[in-house]
Amino acid sequence: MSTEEHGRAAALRFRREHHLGVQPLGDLVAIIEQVTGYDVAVLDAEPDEHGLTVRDPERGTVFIGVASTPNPMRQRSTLAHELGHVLFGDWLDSDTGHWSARRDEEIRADAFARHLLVPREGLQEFLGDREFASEADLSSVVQRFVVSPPIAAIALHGAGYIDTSAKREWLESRTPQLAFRFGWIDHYRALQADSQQTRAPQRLLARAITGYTEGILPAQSIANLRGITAEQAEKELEAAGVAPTVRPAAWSDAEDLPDVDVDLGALDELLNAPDDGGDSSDGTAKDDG
Amino acid sequence: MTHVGARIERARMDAGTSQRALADRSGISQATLSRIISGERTAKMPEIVAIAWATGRTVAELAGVARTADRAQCAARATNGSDADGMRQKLLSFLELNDFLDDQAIPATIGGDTEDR
Repeated sequence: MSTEEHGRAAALRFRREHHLGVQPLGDLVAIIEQVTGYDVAVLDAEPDEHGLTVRDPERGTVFIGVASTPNPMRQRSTLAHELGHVLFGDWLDSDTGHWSARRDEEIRADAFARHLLVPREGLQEFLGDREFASEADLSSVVQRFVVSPPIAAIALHGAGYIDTSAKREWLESRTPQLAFRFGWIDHYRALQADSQQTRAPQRLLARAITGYTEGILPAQSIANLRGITAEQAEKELEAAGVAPTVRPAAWSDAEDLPDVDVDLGALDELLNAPDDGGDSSDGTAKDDG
Repeated sequence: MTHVGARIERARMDAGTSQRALADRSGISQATLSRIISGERTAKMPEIVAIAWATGRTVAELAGVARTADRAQCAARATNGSDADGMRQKLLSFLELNDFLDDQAIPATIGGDTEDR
């Protein structure tokens, strides 16, 4: 099986196992968090850091991170690509750092991402049995499945809606231009606002808030997860009615303690018992005199 | 990251707080804090505990005894030879916090158990 087919088969399996049908996936961050139990974070990152996943093999914990970006289509494909790595188990030790060296795994994760975001069956359901797709169709597919024009073009070509030369041409298309020309630029701006928003890993944040109410984490830990200041975190926690539980220590005098009946008979017996060597029974050393 | 001071400095920057504010919040004098950060002075455990609370990090993370970073495995998408270190550090600190909450027996409030794949 080629890497492309591997990626496609895994994407189909993922959708089937999690009852996702063939429809476009809405908020991919929430979907991944809900169906896999892995936490996803959208983080401010350097320009060349798109996505990264860490896993603790001992505890089975997985965190997927993607960069906040004004390019919502790329963010979704990066997120789907990272999910592919998790499902295929493409792990390297965390300090390896040469992420471009593993071409086959990258190609497979890319294929997984494309087929997860635009399943062929979903595309066929959307476009019906028309013979050729127009540029307006490309725009509709990009808007509906929230994918980049290259991903849409590859999917359209794979489903037989366009020939190789149209695919080649549309690989160069840009989402903002399509969105502008076909009248959904406002929708695109809303998607951009969403993909630029940082997001804390939801399960960890909820758990950290429990830790805060238990008094074992400071508000600063919540602030770190949310990417806000401690003062803002404190204000938000207070506004939500979340406060550390105060557990007053119950002090009492020693005289207030109840009398306890302790039977030390067994201990006395043990202390008076002869040693293994059969020496003196009262525990004192014999004088050799 | 070789010494405690460097880890403290990174935690301070991630928390978006100044050295002066960190000194106030941890109850450690600014001069002492500055010497700890530069590596001139070894941080005592009570000081690390106070700084961990003030920066929202775990003591193990600042003291450099956290094992999560050694165990962690990664998969990344980066371009132009980026080692994605900034993102890696953030995610490792999530792992560390998660580990700490496990050890403190703080239960998950949403979702099921994470599957180990």
